[in-house]
Amino acid sequence: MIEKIGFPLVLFAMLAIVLVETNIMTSGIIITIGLNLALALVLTQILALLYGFSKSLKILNKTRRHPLYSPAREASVNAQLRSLKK
Amino acid sequence: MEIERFTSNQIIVHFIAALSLLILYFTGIPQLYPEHLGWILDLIGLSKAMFIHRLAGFGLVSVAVYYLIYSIFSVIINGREYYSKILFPTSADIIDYVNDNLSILGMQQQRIDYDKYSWLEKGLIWSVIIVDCIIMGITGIILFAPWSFASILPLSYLLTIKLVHASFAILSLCVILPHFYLVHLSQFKFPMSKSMFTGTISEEEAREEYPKWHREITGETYD
Repeated sequence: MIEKIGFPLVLFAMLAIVLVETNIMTSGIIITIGLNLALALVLTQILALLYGFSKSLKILNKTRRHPLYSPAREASVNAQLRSLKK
Repeated sequence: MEIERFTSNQIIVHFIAALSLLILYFTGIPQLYPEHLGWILDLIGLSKAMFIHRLAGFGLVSVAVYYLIYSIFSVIINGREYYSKILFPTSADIIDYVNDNLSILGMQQQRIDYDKYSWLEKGLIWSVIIVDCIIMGITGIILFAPWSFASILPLSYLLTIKLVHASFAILSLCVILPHFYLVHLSQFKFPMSKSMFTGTISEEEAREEYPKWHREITGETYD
């Protein structure tokens, strides 16, 4: 469902910012909801960033602690990826 | 199979820059509209919010300076081909831009053929460089310690700089919100795209979203 309402939500937040910044509409419940929505999206992004970064660090740490982990194998995989990039 | 898209350096720079920028919005925008967002300032406290805002500003400027120095050394050592490809718009980007707009308007049905970075991603990078790092950075440094500039700049200039800082913050937020939509709420990315943390994307995703780049790295040809 969020996929369907995501676009209107972002558009509504942007519209509220534009309306208040251009002084077309500076007060009212619509503007308050729009601005709060924009800041709620910002807060969600902060949480998503922290979550994503900490999770990827955890995975990296877990991989390196695995008994079958070998730095030589990782280097060879990286070399393969680099050759794929070229 | 996973394909490497971002280096660990890019991942860390993106994380620090994005976190700083988002904290800057969260602590800065309520100061612009206290009647609508005053609860945030009440929650954090104005002096603490201003301190966090300045700390995040320092983080963003530091990471911008670091990446500038890194890029200069990288261009000297590796040549400018890579940066020309990822940073500067090419004729293919202009064609993609026109095609995308025509398809949005329903005037054309054309398959996307993006390279490693699409015109939208390059536009976002330029927006962050020009608006967030240069304009907001310079005006932010002046507003950080206005008394230091009082002998050079008249009060009217300082007030104008404050207005410019606030207006560009709004512009910057309006650029970041669609980015939020693309990486969190779009149909195939919900709840979030993980490529900016792992540095890799799946081969299917690369084939689907960046066909030109996928063809380049795998040597595959398809219609």
